[in-house]
Amino acid sequence: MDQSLEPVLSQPVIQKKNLWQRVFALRRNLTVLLGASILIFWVIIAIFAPSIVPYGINEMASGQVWKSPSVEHPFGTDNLGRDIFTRVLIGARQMVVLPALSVSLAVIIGTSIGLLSGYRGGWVDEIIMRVMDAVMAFPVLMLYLMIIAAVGASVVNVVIAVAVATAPAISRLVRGLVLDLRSREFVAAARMRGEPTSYILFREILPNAINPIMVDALVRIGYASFSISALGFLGLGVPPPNPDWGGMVSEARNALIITPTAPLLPALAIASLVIGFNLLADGLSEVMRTER
Amino acid sequence: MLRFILRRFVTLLITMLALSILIFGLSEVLPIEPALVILGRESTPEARAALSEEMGFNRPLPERYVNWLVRFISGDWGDSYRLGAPIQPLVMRRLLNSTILAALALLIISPISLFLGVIAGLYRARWPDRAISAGSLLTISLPDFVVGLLLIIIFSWWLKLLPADSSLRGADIDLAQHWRKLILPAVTAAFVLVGYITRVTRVSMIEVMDSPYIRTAILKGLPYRTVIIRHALRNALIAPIAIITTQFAWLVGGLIIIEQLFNYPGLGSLFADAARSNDLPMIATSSMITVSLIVFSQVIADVLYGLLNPRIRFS
Amino acid sequence: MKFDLKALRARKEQVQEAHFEYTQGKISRRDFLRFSSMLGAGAMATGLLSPLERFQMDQAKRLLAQDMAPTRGGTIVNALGIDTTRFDDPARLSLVFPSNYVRQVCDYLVRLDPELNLQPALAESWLPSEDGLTWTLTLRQGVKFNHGKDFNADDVVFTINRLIDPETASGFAGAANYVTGAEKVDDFTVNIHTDRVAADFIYSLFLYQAAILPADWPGDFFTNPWGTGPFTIEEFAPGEYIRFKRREDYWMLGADGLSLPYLDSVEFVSYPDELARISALQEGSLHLAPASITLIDQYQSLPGYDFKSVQTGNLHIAIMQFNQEPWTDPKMREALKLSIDRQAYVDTLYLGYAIQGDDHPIAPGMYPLAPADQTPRQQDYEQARALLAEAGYPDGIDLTALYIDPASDGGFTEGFALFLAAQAEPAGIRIALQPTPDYWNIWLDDWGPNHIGVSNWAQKNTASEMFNLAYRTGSVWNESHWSNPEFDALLEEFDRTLDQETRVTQLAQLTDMLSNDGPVIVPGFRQDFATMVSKLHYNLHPQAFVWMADAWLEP
Repeated sequence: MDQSLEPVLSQPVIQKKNLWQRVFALRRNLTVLLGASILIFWVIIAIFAPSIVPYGINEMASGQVWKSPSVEHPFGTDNLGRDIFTRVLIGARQMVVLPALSVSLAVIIGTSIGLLSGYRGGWVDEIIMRVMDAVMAFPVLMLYLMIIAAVGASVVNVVIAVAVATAPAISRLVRGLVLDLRSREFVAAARMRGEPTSYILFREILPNAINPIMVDALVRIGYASFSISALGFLGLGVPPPNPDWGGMVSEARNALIITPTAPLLPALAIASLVIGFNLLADGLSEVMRTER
Repeated sequence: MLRFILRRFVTLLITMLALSILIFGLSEVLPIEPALVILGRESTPEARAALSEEMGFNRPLPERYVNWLVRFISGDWGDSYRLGAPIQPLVMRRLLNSTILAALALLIISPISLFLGVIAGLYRARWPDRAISAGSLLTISLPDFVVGLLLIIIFSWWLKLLPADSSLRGADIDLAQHWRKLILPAVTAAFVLVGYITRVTRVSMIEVMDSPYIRTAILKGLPYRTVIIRHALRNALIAPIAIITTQFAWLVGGLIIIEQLFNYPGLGSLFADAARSNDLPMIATSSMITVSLIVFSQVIADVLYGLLNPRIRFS
Repeated sequence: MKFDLKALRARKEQVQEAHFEYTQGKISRRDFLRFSSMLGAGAMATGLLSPLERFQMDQAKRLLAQDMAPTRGGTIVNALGIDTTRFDDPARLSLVFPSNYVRQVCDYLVRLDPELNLQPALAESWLPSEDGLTWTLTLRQGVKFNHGKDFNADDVVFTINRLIDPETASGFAGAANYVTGAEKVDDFTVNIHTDRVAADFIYSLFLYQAAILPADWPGDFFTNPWGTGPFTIEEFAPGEYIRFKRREDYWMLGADGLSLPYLDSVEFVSYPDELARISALQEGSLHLAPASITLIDQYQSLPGYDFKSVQTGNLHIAIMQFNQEPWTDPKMREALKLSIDRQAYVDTLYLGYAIQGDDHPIAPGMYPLAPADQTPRQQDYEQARALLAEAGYPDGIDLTALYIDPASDGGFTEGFALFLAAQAEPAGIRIALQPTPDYWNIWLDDWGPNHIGVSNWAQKNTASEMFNLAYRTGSVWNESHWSNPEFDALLEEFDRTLDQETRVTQLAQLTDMLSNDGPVIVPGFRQDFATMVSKLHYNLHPQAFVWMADAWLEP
């Protein structure tokens, strides 16, 4: 699903205030505040989970399968008698880290490709963009499945798969920004000064494109957490015993009549995380629009 | 105009070529020895070597690629490793099933999201807009398996209204007989996309309402209702409708999770099963079919957009 | 047909001797009857029983008969936890599930009923020669294949010789590696030759690859589904379902004296997803479905269905490859074995619906000659850590477990892999888990040092079959690459011996060797579970075999 924010973000923003003033100003925006709170909540959970949780992630209570929430097991237990509360909390760690990691990787790849393609233009641009079109034509999950089938499921491979699937859209966004910026006076001036291409790309064009790239990346982190949990749901995500929210939903849904909380709680955790990213991104782009 | 369409189709061909190389490349790196999969693990190494030779697995890479592409285009898709049966009838049946499900989902999505998007655009920044925007953000953020699960809990287990099991048990799909099985998966798919299309419609509506042409019409004193219905809507709906066209193809191949969740025999679940069992020919064929469909529909959408939108100039 | 009088006399003596051992309490009544029917002397054995014992057996049969007043008609929809896959050759099957399609369409020469008693099928009787190297089978007359051909000795000769042909690459050739050929005596008598005395020979005819195909079978089973079995294939959609239709002229008769099967048709439908199965059960569109024990509450709340279970000899297994570090050291093998709490396995994974295992694959009570009970080793972390230190790993060891990935078996193996990792950790054995989608491509390879394989095995017909498949040096499915000359020699001895008491002792020695020195961890033997409509009369088979010929549905 191509859900980039291109129409909203196609205009670059020239920085006027310093970063901290800008960040501080954001607190007045309710959407940003809400999104950031959700994310901060999960980050805190991820950091402190190991000292909060009452059990080990792979600790099995003999015979205590699919128990409803109780004092000993606040979220109940799963098919092997493991504590779901523990697993949701510990599971937050990879759900906070992996999407951010893979999108960062995607931003590096996508931005490089986009800069190159947009600045060079001509047949280089044409070929690169056709290849990017080809990758983007894949339904995201289909592409992930193929990559995972080819290289196997592991933490590193999940990150790579998500990055590869995400990079083309970023490259297209960056290319658009570059095409726009390339014709501006300050770029022309730099070119007249005889600056090398790398200087123009990284010192003149990139800083002016960075804001829309960042907001776009936030949305993509949301989708990346979405996709990583979907991979887990299909049984192709991060291998056990690491608790994986998507995998937990998938295992627990069979038990939804016995204990509906077992599939619902990790499902809500995923949803809240994605909502957090989307709210933050929405709010930020709104702020940027009004600043313009 | 004709040049534009022609140009679009040439790029389509290039993209398709890139796609086929991509898919072929991916299937080349899959850790599979086809002869082993076909003959089974008790077969002798000699027999496997002979089969590899016979089926051309030892030919040079470019030659294998061309052979594969020619076979694909001529409709000779071979047998599935996993199921041991010819791929073509299977894929065709599953494609039909997925198409019907996707069509149903779009049937639900289109009126709702176009209506909501237009309302949100008209009442920009007022409470209907805020409510609709918040709602669409929520639906966009809910993973499809979460939505599906909630629907199953509510409609199958609590209310006992609809089946959570959409398996067709091998029957060909028949709407008169199977409509109840299609509702929950279609609603789930609709739920995931409705927010996106609503947002696109809203942005498009806002752009049109801000355009000088509509402002002039309102300033000229034409009745507001007439301006909206006769002029604004016509232009504002072009973009969302074009997008719906592309989403249709996307849905056909993007239903992997929903099809798995409801046990619905579609193309997505066929692909997922193939990917999980290293069923090479099936992976290649079903992904090729899906992405071709998607790329093709994007071209159709572009052309549609160009035809409907008088403001686009063809260069 | 000529009788080998000497052989007959020898058999009589053997049966009498077995009866003596039984009266001495050295072997069980079940084993005595099993042994006799194995020699084709079931009736003679019953004759040796005391009147009281015969009365008890008749009583049991009568009680059974009162329950059974089968009615005819109806269709059973049977959910499969796997996809309905296509295959060319029944002889090349290596999984039980697909063999169940063959089972509806074809017959075997003999069969094991759900109580694991040997029953005649296409072979009416059998008799070993005096030297034990030739088995003479008398075949059933008046049986017709579903494509019109009459069944006779040619078909048996064709099938057996095809099974042992290396070109066919059948698992049968490994499991029954002593079979050297089949030869027609007359139209309904066949001699099967073995290169050594194989006491358990007759059971091998029920290996799931050994379905009898007609001599004119051209290959490709689903194009030419020819067999003498109770059903024919009506429709097959790979990946979705397979439908069987009743045959009118099946040779086996039901309790009402008419041809089986009782049912009009049977459908196997792919339902890999358990939630979808439960939904379908709730709607009443399924009659029989595999079930997870962890969801027992849910299944028991379904009205109109019964939750049933059957003890099996099926097992989870952890494989420590004998030729790889650190498993070359017996201390390391013992250390891992000592870190497993078998009762915890039974309780955690099966809520008590399983029996404990002792690191060999022969389930107590589930195999001929096996003891009814066994006392497995106790968990002992202290000793495990001590052994680890002795073996040169005072700080513990890091291992990688390759296991069948949950996408291909619904997480069935993963549960045990997780359990294993959790149990081994306190002993200092840290196991990283690696789901392996192509497990069945690599399971016989060398995995390199510091690996274990985690997988599962189905129950076999006899201990000999299991050992000859997977534990003898160089045997076809020897995934652990175990090699123990002493074990091989004793196994050969065991295969050759006819005396029951000796064989009981030999089997105990074999399993002890495996348990003490062997390369595998077998934590227990599970029960299989299914939920079925209360009106269905059908017995689950311990070997996961599905045979619908004598199933019936109350109106």
